[in-house]
Amino acid sequence: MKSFYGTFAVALVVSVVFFLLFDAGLMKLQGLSLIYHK
Amino acid sequence: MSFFSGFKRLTCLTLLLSVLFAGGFSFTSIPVFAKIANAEEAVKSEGTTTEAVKEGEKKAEYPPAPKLTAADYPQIGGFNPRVLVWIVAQLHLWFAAFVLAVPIFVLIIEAIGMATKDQRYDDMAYEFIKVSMAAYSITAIMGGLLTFTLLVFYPDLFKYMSSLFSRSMLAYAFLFFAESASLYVYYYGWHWLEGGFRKWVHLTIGLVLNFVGTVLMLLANAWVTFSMSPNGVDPATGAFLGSEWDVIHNFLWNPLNLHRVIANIAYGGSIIGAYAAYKFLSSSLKEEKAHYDWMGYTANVIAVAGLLPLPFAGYWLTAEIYAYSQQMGITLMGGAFAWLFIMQAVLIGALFLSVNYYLWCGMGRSEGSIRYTKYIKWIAAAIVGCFLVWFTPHTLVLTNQELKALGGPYHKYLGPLGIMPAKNTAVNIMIILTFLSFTLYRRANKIATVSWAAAGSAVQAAIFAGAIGNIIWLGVYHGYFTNTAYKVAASIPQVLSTLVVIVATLIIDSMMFKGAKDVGPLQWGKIPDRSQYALFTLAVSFTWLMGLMGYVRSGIRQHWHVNSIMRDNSLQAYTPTIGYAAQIVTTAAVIFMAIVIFVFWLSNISAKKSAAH
Repeated sequence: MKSFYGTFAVALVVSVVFFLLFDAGLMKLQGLSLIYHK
Repeated sequence: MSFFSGFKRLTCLTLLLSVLFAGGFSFTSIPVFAKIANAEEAVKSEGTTTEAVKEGEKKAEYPPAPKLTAADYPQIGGFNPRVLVWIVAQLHLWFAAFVLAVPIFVLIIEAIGMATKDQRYDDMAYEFIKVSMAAYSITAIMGGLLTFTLLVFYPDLFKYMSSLFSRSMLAYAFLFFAESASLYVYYYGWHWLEGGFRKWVHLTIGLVLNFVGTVLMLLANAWVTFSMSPNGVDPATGAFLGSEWDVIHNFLWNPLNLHRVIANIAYGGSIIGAYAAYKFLSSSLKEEKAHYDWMGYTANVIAVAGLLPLPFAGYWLTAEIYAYSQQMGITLMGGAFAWLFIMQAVLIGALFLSVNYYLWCGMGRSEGSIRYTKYIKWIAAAIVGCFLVWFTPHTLVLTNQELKALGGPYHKYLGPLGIMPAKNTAVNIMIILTFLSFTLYRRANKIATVSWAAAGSAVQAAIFAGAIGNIIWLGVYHGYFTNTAYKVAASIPQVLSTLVVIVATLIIDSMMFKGAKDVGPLQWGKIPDRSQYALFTLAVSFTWLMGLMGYVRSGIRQHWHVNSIMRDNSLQAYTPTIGYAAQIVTTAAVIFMAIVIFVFWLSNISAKKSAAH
């Protein structure tokens, strides 16, 4: 169980980083940045 | 210096020429130019005359869209032409959706049966296609009835449409023969074409059947979408420009094609699921119950497979409607029809809840499900939360008193949940959670034997959590703190995050459960009767949903037969109230369900006769 939560924590960090890069890439493809600029 | 003087001269000359042309000056008023111009004109006029003649011939060949008056619409008996055509068209569409979808998954199930050499799949595929046979005849009858009602009540519209789609309408008629022939050979030759090479022949016939059926649907879709986003005609007069492909390949054709293919699969699955539920509830034999439980489960999987991508296809279609005509888009979701979208949201929510409920009940087929049942209440609570966001309206319909009490049509806290980013967030999470229910269901009877099973599950849980967090972040940040371009753009990573979860989970599952042990044999038939009502709810909700949203899609043309080209001047050329429209659609849905029950009954007595023999 301990190893489950450890793996989960590491995988969650990787997952969050992955999705942020994923979002940035997809927004860039649409000519926009991930963070809104007026 | 010389440059500037040259520039000045050029500017002066330009100004002079501008003034001369503006004053109606012509070079031909100068005698030297006049001769050249006359000679050129003689040549030109010859060409122009030929072009004009050709143009005239073309115009004569392709007349403009007719301008009608109320007198051009025949009144026969006490019929309300619009209501009659509406109900008949809707019934035709429901049956057509069903009979086009069933052969798609019958072919897939038959191929699975052939690959796995499991006769149960083949038997089930045969039973599926048997149910659709009677429905096929009813589809054709409704199609004929629709053609006649259009010819009788809307002759000028039919004439105009058939002049534009002459070739494709003829092709449709011939393809219908091909469809019937391949369906009959596919069904009646099922047992004749069994085993070895014959089975391949049978599968090929099934493939031809599906190909022809899909082409038929695409052609009919072109007629529908042309009336919304006409193409290939003169925008001022509606006269045909000569290319039937341009008329077919109009702006909304492909978005509707995709939406209908996916929706048909979901719908076909739901109707077959209702059939299986009907058979399950009416069976008393254990073996029969087990068979129809399995059939209902398979049909539910098919319906879910269609349901999950359906909101995205619908989103694309709606975005394209907006892109084609903002006015049409605003009428659709911000105007007269907006409240039907609230009804749509409630029905879609009901679909998601039914699907999940059925899966949760189905977990009872395995003793191993005890490991996962503790999560169900949390999934249920989250889905209900998303459902509430999903159907929260933006602007409320209120009495004056309520309006005063609230201080406006928007609720302070609930109002912000009425915009699309909130809906996109809610629906994506609902889809992910439904997929989670499905994942738990699939692993309920399995014990993974790979050494990294716990780590694999942890990675899967992290992907689910990361994706849900990402969807919420995109929805909240881009939905409420940026501009419209960002709001719309953020919906793409939201959808693709959902897709990442589904694909990644399936890949990890396929590796993790390779060589997995079963907890025990799945106890088909061991499912409470109440679960079967979820399958009925699925079929009824789909039917009602298709009727209501079909009305919206068609109704956004408002007073046009063909948007901006051919005006509807009949006595019924007004947008009915939502209540009235809902009554008509409900009446049609009740008629459809009554016929479907009749079809089920026919299949039942046919099976009884076969059993007796």
